[in-house]
Parts: sequence; C-alpha cells; structure tokens
Amino acid sequence: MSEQVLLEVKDLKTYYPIRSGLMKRVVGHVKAVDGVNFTIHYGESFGLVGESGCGKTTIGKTILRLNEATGGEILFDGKNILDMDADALRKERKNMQIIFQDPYSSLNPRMTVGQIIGEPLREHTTLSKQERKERVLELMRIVGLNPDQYKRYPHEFSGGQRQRIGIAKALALKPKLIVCDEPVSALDVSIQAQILNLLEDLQKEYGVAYLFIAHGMAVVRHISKRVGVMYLGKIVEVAETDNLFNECIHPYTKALMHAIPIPEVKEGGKKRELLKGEVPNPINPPTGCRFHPRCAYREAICEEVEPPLLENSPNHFVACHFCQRMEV
Amino acid sequence: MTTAEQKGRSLWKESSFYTTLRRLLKGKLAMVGLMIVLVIALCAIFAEQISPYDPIKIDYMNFSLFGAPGGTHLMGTDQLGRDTFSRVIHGARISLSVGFVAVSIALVLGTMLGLIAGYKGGMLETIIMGAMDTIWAFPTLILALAITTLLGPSLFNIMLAIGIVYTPGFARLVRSMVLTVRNQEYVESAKVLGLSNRKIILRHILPNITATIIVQASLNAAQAILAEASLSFLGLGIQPPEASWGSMLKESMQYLDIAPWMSIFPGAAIFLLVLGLNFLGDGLRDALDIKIRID
Repeated sequence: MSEQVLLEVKDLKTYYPIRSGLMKRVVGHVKAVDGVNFTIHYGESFGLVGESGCGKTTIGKTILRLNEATGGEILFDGKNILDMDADALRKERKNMQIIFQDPYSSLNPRMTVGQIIGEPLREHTTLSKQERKERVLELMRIVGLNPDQYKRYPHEFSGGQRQRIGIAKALALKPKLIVCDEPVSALDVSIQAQILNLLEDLQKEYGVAYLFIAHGMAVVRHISKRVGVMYLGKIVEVAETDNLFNECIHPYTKALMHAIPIPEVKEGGKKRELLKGEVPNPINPPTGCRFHPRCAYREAICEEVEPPLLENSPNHFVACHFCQRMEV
Repeated sequence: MTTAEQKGRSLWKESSFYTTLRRLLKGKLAMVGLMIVLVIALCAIFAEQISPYDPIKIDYMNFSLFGAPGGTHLMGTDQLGRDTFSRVIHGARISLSVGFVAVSIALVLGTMLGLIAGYKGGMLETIIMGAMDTIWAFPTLILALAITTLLGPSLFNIMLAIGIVYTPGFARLVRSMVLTVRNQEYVESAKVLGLSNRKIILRHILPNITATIIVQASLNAAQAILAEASLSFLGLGIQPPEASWGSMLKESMQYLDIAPWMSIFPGAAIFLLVLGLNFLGDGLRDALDIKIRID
C-alpha cells in the first residue's frame, strides 16, 4: 500500500437549506457536515463512524457530488472535485463509485443483473457488446455470483446476493475509491461477514480505497485501517483502528465502544457507560463542544469554547478539551 | 429460450411482455374485460363488413320508421328508418378512436410535463403544476365543453378537448411517481456513473413508472369514451348524420316512450365498453405489479 494521498477533504461543509412558506425562502440550515478534514491514501480503507444523523452519509454523497458542498475542498488525486465542470466531473466519475446501504432500492428492478453490472462499462468504455458481456460474467464470478444468473432480475436475489451485484457494479470500472455507505447494515449478521470478507479480498486484489461508513464500531474494526468518529457534523477523533480500539480518548468514542455487543456481559467486567439522550438538532447545534450536553465529563469551558481537532499522540487526533486527563 | 437469449437486449422486453400477458389472462375479470374490448374493437375495424345496412342511409320505405328489434333489423330502426345495429357498430369506431387518441394526447403531454416537473423541480415544477392544477380545478365536462365550443365541433377537436382535460391527471400521477423513484438509490447510482439526465429518465425512471401510466391510460380511456358520449349527447360532439353512441342517445331521447330500443342499444354499448376497459385496467394493474410478480 502506498502512502500517497488519494482523497483529501479539507474543511468540508455541507448545509441543507430549510425552506418554508409560499416563496420557499431559506429560513435556516441543517448543518449536516460542518468543517470536516480527513485524508484517505491509495488502497486504504478509512472508516467513518457515528450515530444516525451525524452527517457521515452526507460526507460520502458530497464526495461523489450527489450533494453540493457549501464550503471547503475535496481533492481527489490532487484535483478539486468541487471546482470541476460537468465534463471533467463525468470523466472523473469512473474513478469513484458507491455501494449503498439498502440492497433493495439500489438496484433498478426493471434491469437484469447483466444490464446493471454492465451499465458502467456501457457508459465509460468502448467495449463491444460481447466484450462487455464477458467482462460482466467475469465480475459476477469475482464477487461470487453464479454467471448463469446473468439474465435474472434483482427481485430474484437475496439481500446478500443483491449487495454482491452492487459491489460488482461498483467494481466494474476498477475505481480508485469506493464509498461504502453502510454496505452491511441491512444484512443478516452471517451475511455481513461474507460481504466484509469479499470487500477485503477485493481491496487486496485491486488496491481500491474505501471510505467505509458505518454506525457501529464492530463492523469498522474488521475492515478499516484508520477510523474517524463523527458527532453532529464534526469529526471528534481520528486514529489508526488498533490504536483507537486500545486507547480511545474522546468520551463519545468511548460511549460507542461501550455500545459494541459482547457475548457475556458479566465476564466483560467493565461497567458499560451508555449515552443518554438524543443527538441535538443540527439546525441549531450546541455552543462550544457539540457533545457537551451528553458528556459525563463536561466542565464550564465545554459550553463556550469549541475544542479543535489536535494530535494527541502520533496519528491520533482528538477534539476534546480534556484529552490529557481522560483515562485510557 | 436459446433463440431468445441470442437476441440479447430485446429479451427483457419480450419476456416482460409475455409475463404480463400471461398474468393478465389469469385474472377472470381482466379476461372478460379484454374479450369485451377486443370484440368491440373488431366491430369497429370491420364495421363495413359487419353492419348489414348503411348507417346513414335514410329508409322511409317499407314502413321501417321506428321499427322494433327483430326480423331484418336486429336492433330495430330509428326515426329516419336507419338501422340501429349498423349505427351502433359504426359508433364503436368513434368511441374507440376518441378513447384511444384523446388518452394518447393526455398520456404524452401529461407524462412529459410530469417527468419534467418531478425530475427538475424548482420554479419549473411550480409553474407546470400550477397550470395543471388550474385545469384540474374545472369540472371535466364543463372544460371539454368550453374547448369544443371554442374550436368548433369536430371529431378531432373532441379528441383534443378530452385530451387536454385528462392531461393534468397524468401529469400529477407521473410527477408523484417520479418524486418517489427519483430518490431511489439506483437513480443516485446512475448519477454517480455520470449518466445524462436524459439517460437517467429514459433508462431508470420511465421504465419504473410505465406500469402505473398504462393502468391510468386504460381507466382514463373509459372516462374519455363517456366524455365523448356526453359531449355528443349535448350536441357538441359528433354531428349528424354521423353516428356516435352519444349522439344516438341524444336523438333517441325524444322517442324514449315509443322506441326504447333506440336508446337501449347504444347505452348498453357504452356501458359494456366502459365496463370492459375498467376490468382490463384493474387486471393490468395487478399484472404489471412487479412486487407480486414471482414466477
């Protein structure tokens, strides 16, 4: 794995306008992503974790320009995606793909598997029909689908198989980056492992980088080299996966760790600290540290000053006023 | 299957057409509806061959005015001695072509407007849907009357008027379907691939809403036929001596007590065709529902 930077997200902001009234005037903004920085290297997988509504999916979609960013930069291979015009963007599209969470709504029910997987090739390559078909059959074998099912429709497949179709489609153009938007959350636990293993194998084989979005720590641990933890539109902690799991610092990360299911609670020994309350409204986020209303360790400063994301130990960034004090 | 496989891309269209047809024929009511519509369509196509008399030829001879059904005149004759059966058969032409053309106009216009409004959104959507809602606010028949009065009574103008009247129905339906489909992840996935809007609409949105459009069209055809009958009944539709079921009803009204057959048969024809189209529409809705299509 090379250490060259593939994707660099700088101070990314994505606000959704809230419109109201007859004239559809903008009356406020949902600050879904509010000043996020991270990098992904070639062939690396970067996990993005946080609870529902924290903005992780928005980041993925903004990188793919499915949403328009409000501010910041997204450098992909050194080029700012947000500045690209339609033509340049279209050319760049083949280098980044997405795998969606819901394997049911992510496949067009009126297209056969062959057409679905072949569509990227049809758009971005000059392969003949026959060559395209051969390539699709090869892709189906790669992701573990039976090539005999080339003419089948999505509704004839199970959730796991459908996700394999989605993976084959994303892989068809051999992109440099695949945004995996909770690709296993909708699947049975037994199938989740299969899909995660497949994604891992594909990464080894093709050197594709993943932005792996998930809402639980357990899934991310399996696949990511580094993990960023998001809370309410901001990244609160970034570290190498092992590092994060051994010594997470931010109180929110700790809470996420405690939420990982363990087989036998009593044997675990440690007391679980689970979060109370809901995520605050992103239209009007709390002042200071955004996590302070739910934080067990908060002090006066947390309500007023927003903690910056600082390097606490090598390659371990935390945004908390008291990171030195936090017991590991 | 192997020959079909070699045809490649056309396969899904074929198989999907045959599956739909097979499923349609499984439904009893749909089957009845299809039979009724087919029989009436055949009558319309072969009207010249089937009808025993010239529908507009006046026959004062042989005491044939107000002739009761039976004998040489299966459905009797009218006040001018014209054969009701022949007129009903020829009327089928008018009714079916009005149903077909008017609904086609509404379908094409409404689908285009609905697709643009639903997919583009914004100001364009507000304008289009505002215009559609304005048309929608008029009572169907009043608006159709106004348009035919404005354009003058002729077969094409009736079709156009009825087409315009039913356009908002399609536009609203299509727009709401597009709003649902547009946010499906496979459409986002198509955007990530860099597909043009045209390709996204034609390849990913339209095929997923055609079923609904077809059902709406078959049900609207019945409505359009009724509207034509009403317009003709009010004297703004088909002009004498041309026969349409609505105009026949109009003429027969004054003779209801002495020659009830003059109104019974065209009335029954309208009833049958509308019923058949409604059965067919319901059957199509079930047959085209992809969710219950498990073979």
